[in-house]
Amino acid sequence: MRKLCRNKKGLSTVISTILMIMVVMVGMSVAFAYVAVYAQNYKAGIGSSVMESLTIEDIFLGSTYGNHVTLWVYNSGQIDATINVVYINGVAATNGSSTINFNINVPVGAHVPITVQASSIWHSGATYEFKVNTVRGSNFVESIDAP
Amino acid sequence: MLKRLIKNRKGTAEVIGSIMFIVILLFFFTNVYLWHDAATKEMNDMYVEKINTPITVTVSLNAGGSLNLNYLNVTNKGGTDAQLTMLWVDLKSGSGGPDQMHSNYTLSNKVPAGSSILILSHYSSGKVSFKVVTTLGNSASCTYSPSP
Repeated sequence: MRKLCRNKKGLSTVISTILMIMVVMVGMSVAFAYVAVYAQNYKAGIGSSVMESLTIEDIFLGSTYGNHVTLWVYNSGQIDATINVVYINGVAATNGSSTINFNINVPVGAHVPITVQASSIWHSGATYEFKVNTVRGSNFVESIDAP
Repeated sequence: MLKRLIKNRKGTAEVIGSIMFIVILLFFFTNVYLWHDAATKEMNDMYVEKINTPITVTVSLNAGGSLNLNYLNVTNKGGTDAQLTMLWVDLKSGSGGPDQMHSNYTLSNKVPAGSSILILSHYSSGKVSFKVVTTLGNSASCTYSPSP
């Protein structure tokens, strides 16, 4: 036993083999984890955008024209949606506190009101296009002619 | 030559390891592809159902042909039953300005394929626009303007 411990012939080969196995195992584990997390994130994120369907069911410009509008959004899709940005005639609108990110959750089957502030006041007879953008990247459009 | 090649086991582990890694990667990507395919198919079915449930809405008529403003007549012109979810009553301005008020009323009526049903209109007065929305996102509207 003592002789075996003192014999150092072939030691580097054993250590290098063990090191190689460890490096390969760690590398494969990292690659495996990356692919698993990517697949999971894709399913929960942008991959689910095909299942989103929002309907802008009502647009109320107010009883006296200002620059506020109340949009009622109905989720007729298969998954909950989160509204990110609202565009009015291609220009991002704010939520009243100088930010364009709304982050409003619309559960499946829910009717949710959103108050939006435009950059200019409404004009009678003008056509306004409202585009609702979700965090997954889907867009839903509705237009009205201001009465 | 072939016999010698088969007997030579040098590098076998690398080959088997690479094959296993590719198989695992393929499993994950196939999984994602199949899931995406199923989700797209499910939504396509929903859109087909939506196309097959177009509705119309009109102010209902009494037996004598006069308007009955208490009810709206909702007709499903498609081949699949439609489920109603919301009625919007928009009170218009008499002088042509902005709408005065938008009110909503939750609905849970089912309109069988090719049939009509009556729903409460919640009409009070003035010029109004009625809009009915279905659970699949279809909508129909009509306007009533009282004669001066």
